[in-house]
Amino acid sequence: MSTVDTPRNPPSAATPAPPAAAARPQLLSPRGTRLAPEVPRPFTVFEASVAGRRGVRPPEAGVPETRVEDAIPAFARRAEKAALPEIGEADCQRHYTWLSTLNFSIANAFYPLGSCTMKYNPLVNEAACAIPGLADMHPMQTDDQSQGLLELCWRVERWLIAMSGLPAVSLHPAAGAHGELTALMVMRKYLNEHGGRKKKVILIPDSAHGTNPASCTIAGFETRELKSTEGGRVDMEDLDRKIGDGKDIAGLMITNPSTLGLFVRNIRAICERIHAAGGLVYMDGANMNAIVGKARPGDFGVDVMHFNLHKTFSQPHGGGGPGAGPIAVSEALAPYLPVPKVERREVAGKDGKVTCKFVTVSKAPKSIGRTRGHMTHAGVMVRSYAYMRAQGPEGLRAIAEGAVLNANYVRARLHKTWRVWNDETCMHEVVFTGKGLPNGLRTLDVAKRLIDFGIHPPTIYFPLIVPEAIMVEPTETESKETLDRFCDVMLQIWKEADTDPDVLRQAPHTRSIGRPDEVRAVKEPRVTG
Amino acid sequence: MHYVPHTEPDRRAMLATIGAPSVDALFEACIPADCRFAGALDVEPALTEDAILRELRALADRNVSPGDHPSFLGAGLYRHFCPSLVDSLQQRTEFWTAYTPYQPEASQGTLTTIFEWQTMMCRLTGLTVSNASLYDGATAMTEAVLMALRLKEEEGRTAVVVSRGVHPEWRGTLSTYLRTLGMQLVEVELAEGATDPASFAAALAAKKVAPDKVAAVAVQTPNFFGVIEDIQALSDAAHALGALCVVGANPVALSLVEAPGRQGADMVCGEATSMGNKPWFGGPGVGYLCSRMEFVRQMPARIAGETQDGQGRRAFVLTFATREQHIRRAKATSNICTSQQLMALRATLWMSLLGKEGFVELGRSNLSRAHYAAQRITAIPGFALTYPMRAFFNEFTLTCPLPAARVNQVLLKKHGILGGFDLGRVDKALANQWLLAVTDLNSRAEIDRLATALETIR
Repeated sequence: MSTVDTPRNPPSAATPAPPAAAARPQLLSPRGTRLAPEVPRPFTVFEASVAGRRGVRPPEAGVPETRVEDAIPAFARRAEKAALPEIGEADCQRHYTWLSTLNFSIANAFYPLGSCTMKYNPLVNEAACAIPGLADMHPMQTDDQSQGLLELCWRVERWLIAMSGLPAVSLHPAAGAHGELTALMVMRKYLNEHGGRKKKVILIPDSAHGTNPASCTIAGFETRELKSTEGGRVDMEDLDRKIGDGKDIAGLMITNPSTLGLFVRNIRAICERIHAAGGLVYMDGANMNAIVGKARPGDFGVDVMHFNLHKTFSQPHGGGGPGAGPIAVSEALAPYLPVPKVERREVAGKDGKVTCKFVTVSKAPKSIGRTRGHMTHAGVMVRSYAYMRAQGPEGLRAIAEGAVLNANYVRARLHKTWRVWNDETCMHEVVFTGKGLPNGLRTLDVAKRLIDFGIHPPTIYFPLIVPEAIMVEPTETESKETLDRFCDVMLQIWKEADTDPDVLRQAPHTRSIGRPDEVRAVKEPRVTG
Repeated sequence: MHYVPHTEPDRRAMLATIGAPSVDALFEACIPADCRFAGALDVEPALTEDAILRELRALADRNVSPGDHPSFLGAGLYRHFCPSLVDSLQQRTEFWTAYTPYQPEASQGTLTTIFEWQTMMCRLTGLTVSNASLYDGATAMTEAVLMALRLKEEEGRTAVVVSRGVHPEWRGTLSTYLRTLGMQLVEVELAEGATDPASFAAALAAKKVAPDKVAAVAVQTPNFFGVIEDIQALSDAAHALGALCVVGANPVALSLVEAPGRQGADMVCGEATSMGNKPWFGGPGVGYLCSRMEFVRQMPARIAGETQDGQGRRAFVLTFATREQHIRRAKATSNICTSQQLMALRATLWMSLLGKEGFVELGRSNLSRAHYAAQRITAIPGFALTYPMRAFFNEFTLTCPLPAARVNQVLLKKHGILGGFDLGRVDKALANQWLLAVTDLNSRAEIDRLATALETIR
């Protein structure tokens, strides 16, 4: 096993030396070596602004001028121009290019962020999404004018139906959490109309994403937490206790595979108990990447689930969005899905020839209504369409296989040094604990030290049930060499923790900033320039 | 399949390290047999890149693209000039393939642009705090109203007044959320296309809602019909009820229209997609939400803030995280986990590149072209402004001599023009009303062509 050089200088393309900020006189290496002096430069576009400087010129009116004073009455006329930046086009380009270099991204670094499925973002998806006949489409155009896009959405729905094993899909929700909320509204309306008006409680395991309980609150439900077993699995006795007589149980929200990267083995039994209490089972599909084509939630008792297209179907995460959170539901819940939705209709022409037509359905008697503007994140659908089309049925299964192989490889290479919280065969991700690190070091120190090696830290301190959690999700698009380097670095960091703890405590050493003071950000808030 | 890099020897070596005989064995160890799916997925077979793009172009060809026709369709989403540099900078892979800036040391680029976005949105709206963005205009207004309901919770206020001038899809979204939560929504009719503050009392009485139950009054400017509202009068009326005033605003109109925050608005929100983003058939777009700093702890979603590192170097972080779902769980201010960062970045780049002067020039260009179009069209017998006494920015309602749907049909078929929005689609009584958007991308020649075409329509 090779050892990894300890970074002393900003390494590799992952962390190009940033032209420093004004407040930053010098860059020190981990050992305190002074590096080349840097040119001070402004941090935000506002400090780069000079009064009167022009950027890009917009189109001239080219028609007789309408004076603002004549068109807009005094009560609504703007008194002062908004103080937008005043920067030249070339300087603007340089400012944002420089800012971009301060980011880690998948394109320049391994990004094993657990639960986020940071896989390769194929460029063909971007090319697809830039096709003018798709990108320029206006949502208020008529169905006749939008047949291509409507058919595309309909096909994406069909494919998600195939993968979920559930009979109906809505592409309406704008993100995973929005899918949760929309689905909870669907559940609420269904229960109300089926004698379940008093059912107010959603059971949620303590290992769940924070969005689950938060979505319940916004949808007017109460949450009751289910305890996990020591190994992070559902505690069936606790489940029975929390269901009680079942009268107030509206349902369960469960993530499968769980946030510990474990498939919930007794999911069928769990679903049966919830159904027996008259509740519905919601599956958070955040971890679908592990089971696409290998297991279908509809087959094991789930009534409703959401997909995170930005995870499983490789949307670029864009620094935090956009995503999309389509939901799949059972036959019973289908009438309650939000509108508008797309439907395929067969129309017989005058000559008797049947053609199919795609229509937007904006009203449905039992629907919850809309939960956003327009129909869907069509741009996200196009990317996911391109991604699924590149895979085919075999390729989709290969995603899950690659993801599970990679996660288990990382587990196997590290588990003798780094304790795996539940050391059994995992699915797409593996959760280590930083508990027991030498010299009182913490998971946070490890995360920050990884940055020095040009690796984005895993998700840390989540799931909450694992102390000092380090949640690693390599995804299927990483090669063995990348995983080997990550493992080598993790082993090296354990050694450093033992022999040179300060190098971890003070990490990162190679970025434009060290650890920021987050308390100060709240105590002396400054949220605008 | 081709995005998985493993060779057969890789796979064998990895399985040997794991101590498993096969990849299938890993799945067998995890997933019980009665949960496994052994069938073939009912999806189409794999294609190569060129074939995927060919298929998508064929689908695109079945759309009528506003890129290929003069288009006067707005209704909340407008086409504007976008500098070439916006595309180029957004395509920096460091921006579009990064994720949420959870690790500030590895995300200063994104965090700085969020801080810049927040600053620009506050300067446009005249308020003091902005979040990092929301899904779209409809959910932004809904979140603003939910925020107001939380702020007024202790006073027992559970009702919301919304103007019929607010975009119908925004009202629809608001209604779905409020119905789920058991809150009351009271709609007020427009008077001559504008919201009349004097009508609140009657609307509340008709719905038997006591004035002291109202937590928020929500209006939009310019409203859905293009009319610029009197925000000072409306916010005064909201405050007289003891409610907060939520204003949806087209941010591009704020180039010439007064910042609602300077006229009493407590929250300003809306759709910022039109700033530097493609319409994308309605998504992904970007919503914004600004408010007063005193309300920051009730704001939904991410906020970036400035701080320092251990050496006193300026740094940006995500802040006030204790509002958010990953910390507060069921008690969070919102369930929102992400933002529309890539779209917000494009809007930020767009605003930076146009800058203080360019933004106002673009606004004037919209104003002049829209008014020129209104003059040309209302000179045609049978076409008249529906609300002649009201001011508008780049969109206005026309009453036509025949149904707007018919006008649109003829325009597209005979003249290759995409017309305005047929208001009959939201209200059958408005079938002859036509909402026409004219922006800096509609040249004089296009406007003249439209007017000439309308002269022939009977």
